[in-house]
Amino acid sequence: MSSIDFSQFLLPDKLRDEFPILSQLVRGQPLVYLDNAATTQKPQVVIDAITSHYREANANVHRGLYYLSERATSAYEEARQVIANYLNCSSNKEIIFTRSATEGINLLANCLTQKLSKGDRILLTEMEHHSNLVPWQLAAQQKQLILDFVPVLPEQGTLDLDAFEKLLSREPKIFSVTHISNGLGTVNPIEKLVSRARSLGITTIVDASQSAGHKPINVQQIACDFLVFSGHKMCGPSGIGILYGRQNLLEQMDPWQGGGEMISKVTLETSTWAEIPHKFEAGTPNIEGAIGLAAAVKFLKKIDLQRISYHDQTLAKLAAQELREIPQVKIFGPLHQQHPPEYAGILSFSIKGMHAHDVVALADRKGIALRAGHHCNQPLMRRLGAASTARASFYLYNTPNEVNKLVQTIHWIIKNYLE
Amino acid sequence: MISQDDELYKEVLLDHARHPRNYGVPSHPNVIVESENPQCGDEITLYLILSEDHSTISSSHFTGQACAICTASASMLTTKIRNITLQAAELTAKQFLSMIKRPPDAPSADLSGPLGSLAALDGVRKFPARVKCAALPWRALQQALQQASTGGGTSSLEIRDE
Ligand SMILES: Cc1ncc(COP(=O)(O)O)c(C=O)c1O
Repeated sequence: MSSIDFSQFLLPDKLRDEFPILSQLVRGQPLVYLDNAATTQKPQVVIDAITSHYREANANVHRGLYYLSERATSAYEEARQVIANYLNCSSNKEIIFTRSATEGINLLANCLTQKLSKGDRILLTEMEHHSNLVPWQLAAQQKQLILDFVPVLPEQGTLDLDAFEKLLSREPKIFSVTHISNGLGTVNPIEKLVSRARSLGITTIVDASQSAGHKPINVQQIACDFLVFSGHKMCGPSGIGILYGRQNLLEQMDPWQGGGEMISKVTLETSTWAEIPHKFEAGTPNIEGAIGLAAAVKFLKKIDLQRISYHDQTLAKLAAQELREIPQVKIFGPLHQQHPPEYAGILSFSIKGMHAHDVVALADRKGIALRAGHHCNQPLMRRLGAASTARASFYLYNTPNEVNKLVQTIHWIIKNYLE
Repeated sequence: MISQDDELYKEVLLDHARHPRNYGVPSHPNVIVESENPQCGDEITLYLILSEDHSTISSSHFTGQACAICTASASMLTTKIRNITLQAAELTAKQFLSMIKRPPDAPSADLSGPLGSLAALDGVRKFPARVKCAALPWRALQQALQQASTGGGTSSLEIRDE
């Protein structure tokens, strides 16, 4: 893995020019935005797609029999097609627009546990974001289900695959796992995990929040039953997310929320449901969000998602190589090792004798945006003995020069704060 | 030094963060409050030793893991809250919390005012996310004072936002 030199795939610095927000000065210094795992910046084409929808095509969808409504409806449905193409779905009916990854998981935690009974098990992992944990806790409380967790090996930051095998023998009904850990940057062997679980008849869910827009994603190759992500982490607007589901499974499921759009025939006593995907899209959807997200996907595909993935990885690896040399710095996750298992563009670290808040507040003095905290991953961070770490996460508009600035700033912090 | 004119990381504050005063578990504390901000991971346990009639704080101590702002705030608290009545401590906590909760553009606190060197923490107002860090030990103190007036003991406190 690490013997490959990705640096030849680095994207050109001028990509930054497409992102208006990045040209500003922060505290008198050029902005170095390294909190991409939390949310990403938006290119002009996405901003334009949203504003021109409002300026030229705004109307409610699937309702009006007039020009503007037809135009808005076709833009919204084209957006669905763009996402379906990106994920290589067999039909665009398999794409449901949600508010976020969080909403997608809540939908699944509700709908998929309806028919489970007391004592049934759900398998998660220790590296899940709170949004792939708490909805299952709520469902488990309601239906008296049991949650199991695949442990994380602390040194490598990878899932314990032997433990995974043992936990499968407890016959869980559902297995929900993240593709990439937002706290550690670990890339899970997703196809292997999913195919093993599916071979035992377990319903599989992939949280692609950190991989969508950072890598090519092929749901037929991953072969999962469901997959979720948020638009805002991949150059799209916030308030829009995607739930992919296999057509036959979505058809069998009862709806989650009721309202307009999701019904076929309504009397005062009862209703029949619309076909998928509309069955799961109650109410007026986030139309401009869907359109903005489709613009983001087109933008990213044009650059090439495989190259974006190499770019993110290269920058994280460069930063890790430099920071590993500093005795006061401890790196968590795969990049802790010189020859790491598969990793993404996410680097978590701490400075000995310093709380992560201070590291991040001082980096901010130099215009660098890092994240401090448990990264919505309290159980994992507690287990790794890192109640809070600083995290740098890279994306297509970051540059090797910004990696240098990060490294220099860490040296500056250590010298001025600790010494 | 971070910078001559850093509004948050003042030298006196860094000194307390690097060399916290009254750090450690005292023997026979009358009041213990374990305070925590689970959102950011700051954890401070505050200990009070009271006079025999429980009217006065003889000394206060702390332990825990927290950021520089929170640690300095706790350290400065323990130097201030010593040999004073419960009422006087309560007043100081109130004054301190209202100082750091003034609007960011309010004039700087006066180092020669009643709060003395605690005014060094006034700079957190300009960094709204850090107000809770400075406030945590004082919230723990407020709870400890209530407990002191009702017989002492141990309790815990969880705070997210200020
Ligand atoms: C792995 C992972 N899953 C889920 C989420 C939740 O995303 P959202 O808050 O957009 O629903 C995040 C966001 O940080 C994440 O990193």
